[in-house]
Parts: sequence; structure tokens; C-alpha cells
Amino acid sequence: MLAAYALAYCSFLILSMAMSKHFQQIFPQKKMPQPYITLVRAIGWALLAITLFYCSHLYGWATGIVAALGLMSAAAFVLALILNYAPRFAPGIAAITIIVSVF
Amino acid sequence: MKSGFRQSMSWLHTWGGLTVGWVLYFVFLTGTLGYFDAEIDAWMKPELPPETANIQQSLSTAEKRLHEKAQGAERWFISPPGDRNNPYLRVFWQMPGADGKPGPRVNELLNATTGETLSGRATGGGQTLYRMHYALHYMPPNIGYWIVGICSMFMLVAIITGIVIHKKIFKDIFTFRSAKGQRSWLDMHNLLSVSALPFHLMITYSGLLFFVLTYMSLIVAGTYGFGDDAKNNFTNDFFSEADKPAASGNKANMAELSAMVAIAESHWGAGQVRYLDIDYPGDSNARVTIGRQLDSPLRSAPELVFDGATGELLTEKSAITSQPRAVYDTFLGLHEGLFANIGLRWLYFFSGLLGTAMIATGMLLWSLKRRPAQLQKAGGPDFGYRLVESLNLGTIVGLPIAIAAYFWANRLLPVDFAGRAQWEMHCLFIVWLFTLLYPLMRSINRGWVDMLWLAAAAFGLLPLLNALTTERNLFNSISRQDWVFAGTDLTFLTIGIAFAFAAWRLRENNKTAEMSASAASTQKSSREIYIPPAATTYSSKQHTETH
Repeated sequence: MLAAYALAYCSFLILSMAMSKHFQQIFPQKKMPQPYITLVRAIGWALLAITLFYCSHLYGWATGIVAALGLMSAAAFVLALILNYAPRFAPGIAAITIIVSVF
Repeated sequence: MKSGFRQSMSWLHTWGGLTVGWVLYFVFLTGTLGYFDAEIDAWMKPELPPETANIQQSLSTAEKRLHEKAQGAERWFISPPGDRNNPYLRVFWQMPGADGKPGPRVNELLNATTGETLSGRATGGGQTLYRMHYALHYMPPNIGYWIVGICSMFMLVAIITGIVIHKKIFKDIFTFRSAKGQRSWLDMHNLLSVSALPFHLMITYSGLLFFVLTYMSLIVAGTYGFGDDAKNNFTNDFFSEADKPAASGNKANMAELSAMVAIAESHWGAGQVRYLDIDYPGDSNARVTIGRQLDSPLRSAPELVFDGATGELLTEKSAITSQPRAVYDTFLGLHEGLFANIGLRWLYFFSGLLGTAMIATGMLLWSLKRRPAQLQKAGGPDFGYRLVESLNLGTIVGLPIAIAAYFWANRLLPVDFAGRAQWEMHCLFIVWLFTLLYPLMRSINRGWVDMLWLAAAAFGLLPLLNALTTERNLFNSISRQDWVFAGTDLTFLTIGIAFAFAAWRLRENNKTAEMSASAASTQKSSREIYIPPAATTYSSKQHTETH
């Protein structure tokens, strides 16, 4: 379940990076080039879909959808708090979550 | 009401939400605790050790008890222990009725090894707490259903109008800006609402479906007519219970239940038997229905039906008996989350907390928005405004304190005290009444800080109280790997720390606000005092200063 959470968190992190105001919170010095935005957004949505598939792989479709939605709620809430209080750590927290979930 | 679609929706959201907000907060908070009802039950009966007996042993204990106590019963029901939802062996029987009245029904929890009935202290446990979220308390259940139903309908309206009036629902999905006054509270309200929106919609809509036959009884009457017969016909059709044979009246020995359970386990796997439902035990037409554990949101499970006299497997019932029933059961199953494993259970709990906090922030926003104008009023804030402000404090922080008092009462009331279980609940409501009255005695800002500290102590000290009154303290629980007990203690501690943090932050904010307010008044620019909402300052002293 932690791996699924890591996936959901990464999906939303990437989706938020496709929004200029959040991108600037995370990387105050840089600006995302316009052509990349669509690509980043597509990756975010794809990863979100993978989260759903991964959950249904773990628990079956019925329970998997419930678990995916629950994880996405938690991930979106946590990400919004991190973007406010510690935006520069948002990618690092994603990395830590992935590492912890693998081991 | 204002003109314009969005304005009308906004009006409805604000006033509809305010009207029932406190009841909804109560419903959401007690309902959220219901996701850990069995764990709270266990914590509130510390005398009972966890059950370890296997299913065959439990079965023979149950059979022995039922043969002893329930000869000639219409129905036996056995649910073996081991699962989170059924931690102990439970037997139930129903005696035949006479003169059209149903016979006595008995429910017992048994020690599966010794066969003794489980006693432990009398307590309402997690079940009574959970039951209040749909039936309320101190009133007949039917009235409770209606009150909660009407409030839930308002909730559904508030959610839908909330979606309509939230212009930047996608753009602002990850947006929270702290320390920006009322803006921050609105951001938080939006974040809590949108991040768990699927949960909010599901829980509210399915909550209404639970008592849909109560709320919309005329729809059934439209097809089936009125009266008891009509009701029975509908129940038989909808729940497809008509295919059971009646008792023959001829006595016959029961076949081995353990053999039937073995067949069921070979179908589904070990540990998958959730219950045995035995119709007309000891009759030649006895039927034994064995049901499987719930492993998906569908609230019904596959069943195997055996001939109770011969032990022959008669039919395999699929979990889905009809499409409308499956839709209904899925909504109910999603709401209750009985299928949820421990991870998913925490997600349910967390989503429930988000919903509770959404209601709380919504009610706070109502008063924060009106506070600056109210503080300018010549005669002081209106009665209505002050009522809302006091009810907010007395409910948002008061109800958690009252729930903590329920747990304190469980440990502190004497074990042999008559009416103990009822008094636990009386303690909850007495403390809640006190917290509702408390804002009348204190200025609202001080009241918030005081009550948050009280909540911090009430929850934070529960593990200590548990350690002083039982053998199962936190260290013992962890070393015995008793995660239900350890988890409950640690959750109480975490809630206590969270309240303490909130109290400390609010006190700091109040200090800075008071300092800036006094600085501003010496500069004679008091009209333009910026009032930080988290620390909004209205006390009689400042009120006279501003004017």
C-alpha cells in the first residue's frame, strides 16, 4: 500500500509541476519551458492511471478503486500542505517515500 | 436570497450548511470513529484477552452451548472468531413465537476454549459510539434516523452547491496558503473538500440509502400496497428469502456442522467462513447456510446452503442475487468498509477526519467572515452571531473532549456500578453540555485556547490512565505485539499532541494579535486593525478600544 501511496503522491507532484505557480514554489529560480508543460501533465495523468491499475492489481478491481481513491485523497492533501510549508522538499519527500516503499 | 445562479448556490451553501453543521459534525466524527469500532470495543473491555481458538474448536463450543440452551429454537446463528469484525465467538438464537409475537432472541459472546460466556466490564464500547452517528441518543431510533436523514440531505446539497460555487476547483486543487487570514481558512476548507470529494459524495449518498425504505416508504407502497403482508412480500422479493422451506415438524438429528465447514473452506480457503445460519435446527427440514467473509465493497457474500439433516450441499448462492440489490449492497458496503484491510481502514478513517474537518472549517468560516462587521456594531456582536461562535467552540473542540470523557468514564467508573454502560454515555453528554456552556464564561479567544489544552490533556493522558487502571499498558502491549491496544493508545497520544500543538499555536497568535492591536491603538489607527482570523480578537476590552 505504501508503494501505491508513493505512486499517487508522485502523480500529483508531477501534475502540480505542470502548473506554473506550483513549479515556481518548488524551483523558485527556474521556469518550465512552455512545450514541456503538456508532456509533464501527460506523464502525471499516466502515472495516476498506473496508480489505479496498481491498486486493482493488489486488491482486485472493486477494492482497488476504493483504495486508489483513498490514497489519492491522502496524497493530494499532504502535497498541498508540503507545497505551502516546505515546497522545496516536495521532490525529496517523493524520493524518500519511494525508497521506503521499496524496502 | 440573491439573484444569479452562483449567488443563490452560495447562499444555499452558507445557510444550509450552517443550519445543520453541528449535527453533521457530530455524525461525521462519531461515524469516523466507527471505522475502528471493534478496536474501541477491545480497548474498552481490557479484561478480555484476544481469542486464539481455531474454527473447529469454536464450532464445537458453539454447538454445545446451543444444544444446551436453545433446544427447539427456530434459528441458530454462529459467527466464529478470528476476523477483525468478529474478534470473539458469537452465538445467537431465536425461540419460536406464540400468538403472532416473535419469541425471545438471545445473543452471547463465548470464550471459544472454555465455553463460558464472556463477561468483562459493562460498556457501550465502540458500538454505542458508532450507533449514535445514525440513530443519535436519548430518543427513539426512528426519530434519530429522520433527523440524521434530513441533515444528510442538507449535506448532499452543501456538497453539490459547494462544487458549483468553487470556480477554480482544478486550478486550486493543490493550493493552500497559510498565515493569510480568512483566505487561509477558505483554502483549507476547499482543500479538505476537494481532496476527499469522492469520499464525501459516497459517504453522504450511501448514508441516505441505508434508511431509504424509511425515508421513501411510499415508493414500496406504490407497488406492494400497505400493511404487513405488503412489507413481507417486498422483503422477500428484494432480499430473495422466499426459497427456504418451512419446518416439517419431524425431528431429525443434525448432521456434523464441522464437515459442512470443511466443505466451505475447501471452496473458499481457510478462515473464509464468516457465519453459519441454521434454520429449524433438529428438524428434518433444517437448512444450514454458510457465508463467506466480505472481501469487496459488495456487502453480500457467496453462501453455501446445506441440508441440515443429511449434511448434503444443496445450493451455491452467488453474492449477487439481483442487480438492484447488488447496487444497493455496494453502496452500503462502501459506506461501512467492513471489507477494508488495516491500510484501507486507516484511509477510511483519514477521509472521515477530512470530512469532519471540512464541516468544522465551513462553520468557522461563517463566523470569521462576519466577525469584522460584528465587532464594529455599536451594541456589540448580535446574539445570533455569538450563539454560532459559542456553538462552534463547544462542538468543534467540545465534542472531542466529551468523547475522551467517555473513554475516561470507561476506566474510572467502578466495575460493579449498576447502569455502568449507560453512565459512560451520560458522562459524554454531561461533559459536552459543560463545553457548550463554557464559551459563555470566557472570551472566545481564551475559550479556544483553554478548550484545546483541555482536549490535549483529555486524549494525551488516556494512555497513562490505561496504564494505571489495567495491566495492558503501552509497553506491555508493544512487547506482546498486541497492536489493537498499542495502536489505540498511540492514536490517543497522537490526537493529544495534535490538540496541544493547536493550542500552543493559537496562544502564540493571540499574543501577537494583542500586541499589534495595542500598538495600533496607540497609533490611533484603530479603525484599520488587521485582525488575523486564527487569532481573531474580540474581547470586551478590545471592543471598547475600537470604539
